[in-house]
Amino acid sequence: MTKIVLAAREVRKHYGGVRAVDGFSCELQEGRLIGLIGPNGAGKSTLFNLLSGAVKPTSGSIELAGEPVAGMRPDQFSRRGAARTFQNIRLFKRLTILENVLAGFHQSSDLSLLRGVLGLSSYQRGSADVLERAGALLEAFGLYAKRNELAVHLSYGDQRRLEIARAMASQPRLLFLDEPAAGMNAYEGQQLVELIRRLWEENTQLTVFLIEHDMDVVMKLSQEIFVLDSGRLIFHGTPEEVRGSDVVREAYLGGDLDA
Amino acid sequence: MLILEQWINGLALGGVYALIALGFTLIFGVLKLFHMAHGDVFMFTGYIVVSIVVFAFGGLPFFVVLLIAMAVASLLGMAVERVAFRPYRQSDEIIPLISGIGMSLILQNLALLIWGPGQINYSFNVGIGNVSFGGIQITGIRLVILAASIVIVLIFNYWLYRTRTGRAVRATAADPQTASMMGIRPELIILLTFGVGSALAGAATALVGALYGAIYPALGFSMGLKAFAASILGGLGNMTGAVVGGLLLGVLEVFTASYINVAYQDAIAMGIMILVLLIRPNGLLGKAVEDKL
Repeated sequence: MTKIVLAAREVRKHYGGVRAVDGFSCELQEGRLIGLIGPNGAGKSTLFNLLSGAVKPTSGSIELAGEPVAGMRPDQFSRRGAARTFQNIRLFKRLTILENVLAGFHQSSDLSLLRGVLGLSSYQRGSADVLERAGALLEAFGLYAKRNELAVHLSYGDQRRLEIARAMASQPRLLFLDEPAAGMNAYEGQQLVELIRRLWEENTQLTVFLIEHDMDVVMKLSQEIFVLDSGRLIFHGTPEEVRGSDVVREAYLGGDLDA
Repeated sequence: MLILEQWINGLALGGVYALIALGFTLIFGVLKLFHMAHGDVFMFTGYIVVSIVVFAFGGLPFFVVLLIAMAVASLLGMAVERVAFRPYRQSDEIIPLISGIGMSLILQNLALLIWGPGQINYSFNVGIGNVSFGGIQITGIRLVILAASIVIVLIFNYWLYRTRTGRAVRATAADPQTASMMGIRPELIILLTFGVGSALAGAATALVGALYGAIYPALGFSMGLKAFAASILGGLGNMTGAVVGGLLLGVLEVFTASYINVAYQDAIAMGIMILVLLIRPNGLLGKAVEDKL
């Protein structure tokens, strides 16, 4: 029996009269690579905001690793294993690349201010350990050489990768990637797909949930796909099943699903 | 040789302004809020410290007085945060500004009520006499102020740029929502920011107290104004800028007072500030504000 890392039941988000997400339920199993697709305005980003704790749902329940979390603060979601990237990159621009990743380590590093002030040796060891892990992470993402540059000075593709590295720093159980390859050219996109796959393979318990517009990428990466339309789940299945689904085809109104 | 003395006097005064301005600019950086009661936290701390330290336990070493002042200001600053700003976190930004002005008036009137309208005179013994070398004479107090300001600024700098908590403060200043998704608790960071920012003002309280030995309810207003001016002069939200702005303001005031007329010191210092801002609207070290993606 595989573990359920995230369970959502009848999650809704209404903005005034607009039903951005209108009763979404799912169970995400540990260690899966899962895609979320849907036409523009389907509510994909809103759903990510709800499931990652950025936005509180109007109603419905969310469980992270068996614990109810709906209505909690983002840092409480983070402490229970959720991490994410953003559709519009949201790095700490005036912090260095290393500092961005270290901020990602914030909670896992577990070094209280008091212990730091007291200068306990475990604090010293702890910060050396965190530095080492941050360095290893940057190495894996090919950003180590640039670690002391400000995030704002990175190229667009590097910023996207840094955001994923920062999210990974918290050692999440569940990683939300909101259009990680957006704005990249085909080659960069391909590289990023390889990186995500490698990351997922190396962390066997990590569940990756990603929104992606490029059908080619989603079909190649995902083991299962959720299809959202007008705030509702209209289909859930393997990439092959999604490709063959009339419902999905209709939702996209003749959009080209054949990669 | 007189000019060297003036430089040291100006830098000592500027060091105090820099400490207040640092707290002011730190709080601005994190909350994007002009803390209108920052100067009054400085003033009220002064009254409390004078009451405790001078009249209850006279003769404490100055170092201890400094630490007590920092602790008192820190607690007071955090209380102000909880009462005047936290309830209005989701409100339009003008609301906490008004609430801050209200808090400023409350603290001033409380001081009037408790300690009366008159000026209270006192003295802290810094334990160092006057120093003279090569024909110049510097009061021990000014050397202590200069040294203490430098040490405190360096410790603050280390905290903000080299520790995990300081990094969390900067991350929160940059983007509170994203920071909270890293497991950082913005509300705790904001409280801490007020604690640290006000502690800097508390240090300034002790140092100014040692220098002038006088306190009155309106002192906070003029100090707050100078911290505000120094922060703007250096570039709002910029830590180095606050220090540079504070030092510059102190030096300008001392030179105006000794070479022109003490009555004009505020007018000339502020006038020069306005001229600088005409040329560099974002302050000496400020960068043009970037738009968010």
